[in-house]
Amino acid sequence: MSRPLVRLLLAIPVTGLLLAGSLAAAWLAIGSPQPAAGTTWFTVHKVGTEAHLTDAPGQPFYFLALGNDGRTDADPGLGDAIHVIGVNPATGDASIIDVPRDTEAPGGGKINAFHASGGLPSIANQLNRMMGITISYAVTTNFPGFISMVDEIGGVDIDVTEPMFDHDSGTEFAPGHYHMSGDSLLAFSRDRKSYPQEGDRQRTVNQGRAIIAALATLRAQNPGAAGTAKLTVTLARHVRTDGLDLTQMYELGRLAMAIDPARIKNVGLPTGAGAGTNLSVAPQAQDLFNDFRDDAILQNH
Amino acid sequence: MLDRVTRSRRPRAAALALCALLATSVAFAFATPASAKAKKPIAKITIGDVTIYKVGNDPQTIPDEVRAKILAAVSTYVNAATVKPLQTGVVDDAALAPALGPAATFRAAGVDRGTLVDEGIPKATGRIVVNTLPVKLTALADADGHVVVITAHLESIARTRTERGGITISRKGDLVFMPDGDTWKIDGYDLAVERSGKGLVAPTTATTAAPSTPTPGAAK
Repeated sequence: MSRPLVRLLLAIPVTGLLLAGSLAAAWLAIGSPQPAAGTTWFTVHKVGTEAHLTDAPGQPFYFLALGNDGRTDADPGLGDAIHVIGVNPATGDASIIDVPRDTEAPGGGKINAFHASGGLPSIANQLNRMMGITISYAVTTNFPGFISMVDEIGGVDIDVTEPMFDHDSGTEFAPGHYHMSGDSLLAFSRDRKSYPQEGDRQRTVNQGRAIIAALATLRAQNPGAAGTAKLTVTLARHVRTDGLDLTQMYELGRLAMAIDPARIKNVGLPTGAGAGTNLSVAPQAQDLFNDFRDDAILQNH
Repeated sequence: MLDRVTRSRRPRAAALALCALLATSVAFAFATPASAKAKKPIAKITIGDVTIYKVGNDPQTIPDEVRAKILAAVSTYVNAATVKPLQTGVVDDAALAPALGPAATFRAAGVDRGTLVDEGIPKATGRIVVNTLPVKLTALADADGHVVVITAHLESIARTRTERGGITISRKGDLVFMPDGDTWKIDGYDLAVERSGKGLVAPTTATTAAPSTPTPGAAK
């Protein structure tokens, strides 16, 4: 089997978890996706040139979890669910900055378009410039991949804190605790109309919550070192990778399982009105980025 | 007469036999270098169930030579982390070193030392008994059929006596092995240890998990 093909088969438990949530976002344009057997659940790229697990295993690092609205594997789609995750292995902490899809990119235009035009490296580069960080890994998934992945792990436990009833996204949730299937979690992650004031900003934060909930659900299954190996192989059959090998994916999975969801901060990027329908990065975001870039953790937000 | 002769020869024969036995023992003791003495291992480790998760079709199981290396590494770990400290009162870091990868070495010297090794335990004054369940191995193989990660599930209980009383050390969890050149070394672990008995100043329990590596750097 060729090396590229091998890589295609690699998987990430960790990323899987994290992305599980992240994927959620976006895909507003897609109808009712039908997961197919053998479908690619997500794609993983090593986009950074430094600070990855093997070279600097204890050092903080960043990765991008992206949900895209691509309808096929060949279509990268818009990067509509954008979550930059900082992980500090030394402390067992992680932080998520949720970026609304309409946020203006440093390179101009909406940031979600950079995925469609240049893939994961391109949008990661824009986020690096915006936040002053270096993203090491990036993962992306689309609707079918998201649904299949969530269903494969047996669903995700999550709390709905406000009424969510939106025909377009498919939400029908009164406040309470839910065990959501892939379809339901996708609806939860897509719903912005239940939030007349915050809209996409709240939806983006909800996607971050979905990521944390997915991780919590997997941790509750307590896969351990051996179970993570099984999970890695399961995901390996549904992932595309570039720049990662199976060992690194296993390590990422182990690392994810070592992070207590209660120690993950989830913060929406402060934005204001921008040109047209764009959102501009608010001035106070610089303080957020400063807090984020020193050790990948948000202590003051 | 006959009886008398017989009686006098019996003690003489017994004395001769005793002398021969003592001479033989002394000769053996001096003739055999200490390092070459064949000692029965206190902790006898065996391999139990083997499971392999693979991306491709191969391998069917963990190759024998890899199993042997894992077995040797687990044995090295148990002896250096538990048996030696009980025998000598100190951890044999030099003996432990070959079993640990860089990440585990870093943590064994710092935050996880209390879980990884039995430091500060009183020296045994009685026989040391270590019972272990067969070590379950779980392997992860890539699409090329190469085993890239092996986890070893360890459950051991060590018991002995000290001047203050008995000690029991129970250690349970997974050791994560990764290849390092021609060897396999501990890269991460999920371990829990419980130490109890009157021989201890105070019972201790510790649990730790190391997903992959060292932890330099610190939070703000």
